[in-house]
Amino acid sequence: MHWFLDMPHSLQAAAILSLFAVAVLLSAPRASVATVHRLTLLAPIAAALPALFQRGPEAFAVLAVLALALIGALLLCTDALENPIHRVECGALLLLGTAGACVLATANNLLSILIGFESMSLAVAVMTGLGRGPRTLEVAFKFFALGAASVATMIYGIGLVAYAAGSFEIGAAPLAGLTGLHQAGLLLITLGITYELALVPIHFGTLGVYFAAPMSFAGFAMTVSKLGAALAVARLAAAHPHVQPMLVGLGVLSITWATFGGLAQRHLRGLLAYSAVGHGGFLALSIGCGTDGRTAAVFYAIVYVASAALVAAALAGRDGDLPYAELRTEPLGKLRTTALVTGLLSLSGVPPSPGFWAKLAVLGPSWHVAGPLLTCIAVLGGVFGALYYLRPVPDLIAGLRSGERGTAASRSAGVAIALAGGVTVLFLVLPYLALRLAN
Amino acid sequence: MNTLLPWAFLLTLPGLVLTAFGAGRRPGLASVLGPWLVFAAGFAWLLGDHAPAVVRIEGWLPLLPDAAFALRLDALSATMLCVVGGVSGCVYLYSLSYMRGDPGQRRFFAYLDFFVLAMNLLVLAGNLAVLVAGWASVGLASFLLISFWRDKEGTLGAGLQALAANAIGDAALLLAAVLVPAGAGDLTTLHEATHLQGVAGGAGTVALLIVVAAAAKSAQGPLYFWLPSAMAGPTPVSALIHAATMVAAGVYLLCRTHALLALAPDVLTVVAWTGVLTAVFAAFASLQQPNYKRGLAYSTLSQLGYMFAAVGFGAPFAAFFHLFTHAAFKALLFLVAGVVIHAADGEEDLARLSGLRKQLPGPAWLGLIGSLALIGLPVVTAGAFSKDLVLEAGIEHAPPLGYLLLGSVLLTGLYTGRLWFAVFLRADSQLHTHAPDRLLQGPLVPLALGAVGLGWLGTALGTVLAPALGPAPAVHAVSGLGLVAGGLGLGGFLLAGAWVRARGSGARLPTLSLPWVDAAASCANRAATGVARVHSGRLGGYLFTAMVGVAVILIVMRIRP
Repeated sequence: MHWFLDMPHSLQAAAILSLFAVAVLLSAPRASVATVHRLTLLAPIAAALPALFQRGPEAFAVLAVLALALIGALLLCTDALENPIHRVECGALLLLGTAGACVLATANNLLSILIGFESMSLAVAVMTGLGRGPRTLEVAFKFFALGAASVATMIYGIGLVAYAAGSFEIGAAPLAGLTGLHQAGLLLITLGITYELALVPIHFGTLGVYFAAPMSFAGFAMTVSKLGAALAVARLAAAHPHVQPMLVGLGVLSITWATFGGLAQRHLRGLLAYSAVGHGGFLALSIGCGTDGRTAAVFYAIVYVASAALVAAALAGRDGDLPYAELRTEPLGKLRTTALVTGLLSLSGVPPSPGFWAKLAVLGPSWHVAGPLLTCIAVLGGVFGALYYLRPVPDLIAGLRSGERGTAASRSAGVAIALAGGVTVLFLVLPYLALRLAN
Repeated sequence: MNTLLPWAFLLTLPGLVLTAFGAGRRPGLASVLGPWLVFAAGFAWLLGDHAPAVVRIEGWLPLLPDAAFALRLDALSATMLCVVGGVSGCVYLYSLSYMRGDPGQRRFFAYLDFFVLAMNLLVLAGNLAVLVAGWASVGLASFLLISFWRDKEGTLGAGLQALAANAIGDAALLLAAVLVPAGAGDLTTLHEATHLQGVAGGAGTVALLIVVAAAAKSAQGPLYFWLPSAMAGPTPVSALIHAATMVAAGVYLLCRTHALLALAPDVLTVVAWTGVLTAVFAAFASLQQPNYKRGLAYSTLSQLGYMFAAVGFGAPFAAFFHLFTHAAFKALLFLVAGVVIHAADGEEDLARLSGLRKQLPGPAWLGLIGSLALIGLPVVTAGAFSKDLVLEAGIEHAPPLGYLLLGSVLLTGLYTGRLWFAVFLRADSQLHTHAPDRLLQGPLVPLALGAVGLGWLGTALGTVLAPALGPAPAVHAVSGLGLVAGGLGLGGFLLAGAWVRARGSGARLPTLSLPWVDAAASCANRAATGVARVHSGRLGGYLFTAMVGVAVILIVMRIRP
């Protein structure tokens, strides 16, 4: 038993999640769907137990990822699949993807990063493909292919770093005369990971998933994957400051791109997809701004994933692109509308929402490190981004007041809304709490 | 006692709690006392020994470098408290009648209480951290009040427009708060050189950010668009927020930080040009409006332009004095409009509102007083005193802009006359109205008295405000420039009367499109569509873009083996 207790928290969690994934798969022929759901729900809770009694950044990262996985598991039963029998595989994939995210979020070794990234990315690709809808398979294939290109980039980068430093450790210094190769390798690794952050110009695969995957899987990609990737990039940037300028540049580019892309959207799926790109940009910008920036990035990531999870929970089970006009004629129920509006306001960063405090935290480090011009571009992106978040709000409220009976949230979606909404409201009232967690 | 006065912003909180939780027989009655107590707090300070009262609690908002919760009650904030308390007190009383029977009356008063609380927090802010909190909360309250009638077409959209425009200002102010080093966010000492060391661009950067924030709140320059749309809200809201208080917050901030702005002459020039251009543009726009309240909204924009221009001319006292008098006569004009609209069962179209002088004699006369104060009729109206100071400062510091402002007084006369003559004098409508009650008309009287008499307080105000705004110029009841301006305004007013008589109540200038607005919108739309189109679904295109992107990044990062 000692060998288990001596393992890092992330590996303990990954081992428990993997065991549960196997149990879910094995139980399939005999056990009912409800049993499968219970097992899927139990897994993140069980995996969190070892980390619950520990302190430190690793334990916190693992707990945050597992909390998001719990919300994902709650939403699993609400989503429409091409074939309902695949719900078992989806449960197992969700747990394996979460295991990958735990490893990625806490990795100190380049090979751990690769394994974590690959597990997470494969799980998202397959889950997307199992969803119902005309484009899910196509999108899943593209995500897989572009993800493979990112993995190839990462492997090439890892090869260069290993050659230049003689080690797979993140913090390993290059041997004399090989600094250029080492730097190139690290840039390639960082670029590879940012695929999950959906940074321009390698955002197309993830953008497709946000557009077409069932909402709970899209939510998983927006939250669990993003948090894992952001924490991994933050570790790399902390160990090797020369990747920071690239992150700042890609961050500002992504914010600008997402602002324009978001303005052109007329449906909620598109809005959320470009929103994820924009928030990925803010995360990268912040990570690229030194120590203060990384603290702000963690704060930003916590607030963002809570708000995105709330939006995903509110929309879970609704098929299609969700055009704004449809929200008037086929409204969501009261709880879901309230949750969605709260989530959108927080994502938009309208004061005094938690998103506002998160953006505020990014501004200072950004001004001092990235400079006034890039910070002003980011601020304007944030402000004009608020316009596209606010656009569906009148339709949502009009739908609520139209007298049409909205589609109510299922019991598990209601619990997910309560969890994500509770955290979002808590950060609204006590933004310091998130900041303290980040610190 | 002096240390308690800065907490005056909390005086509307009991009303908010009582109203929100349903106390009192009549919704809103519990809230009415709050603003008058705020007025009394400001007035009590002005009657005292004039020593600034300061509150400072450290470590309030650790996200900002200057993390203290700081309040400051000095001459400027005390006078502003009187403005906010006095006008909102009148508006509360008026709303008791105006909102009677509305199912959301209780909610309305709770929102009003929240707004006044936030506005007073903004006024009493001693440092940037508290200012940001008040600034953002005022924007939120404005959104809630504009979109109060949720079922009315366009109200929610108008509220969101206001929220989005305010967000630009919030972002700028936040950036300023983030940039100012630890412990240096005090609004009265912001200009001290040691405080701005290390800020890229120095005083100019912080000054520019403050100007952007002020322009967003006061709807100046390109950020004007939200104010006319905000007229979709209830009329008392238009009178309180969009005439006398919130929109004046931008001018208040510029006055508060005038010493910092003085360190950045280029920024002051931008402020002056923005103010003058907005004053002229909004005056023309008012002449194009078919809607009564929107006509008044553009008039507010124009007058705020005068105040901005005054700050740009380096005359913060003139700007604040105009804010002070404008609050009374513009609130009066809006409340008169509310009485008319209420009596006409919600009709706001100028072509249908006409000949109401006999049916509504009281509001007609009070409206005339407000209109003449807006024009700046010398001696007998407050507007003349303050406008003279603005024009004098303009002609002294930037003659071309000063004369342009003087010319725009003619436009002020034209749009004011057009609105008053169209509504009250031309008798070609058979509109049925019902008589307004006393509670609806009563609050107009103190505002009318203010519109007439506040100008005479100019000299005393100048003395009181000297420590905050610097030495004030002499305030004259009659001056050559004042007579010219008054003549131009009155001429415009009478000319508008003849125009309305000849062309009917709906007489207005043809609407002109603004090519730059259309071009900017079209450009943004094209860019947005272009970006969205890049996401074409072609895997080859994606891979190619990603590869080129990676290559460009490696080249830009100058990686060499």
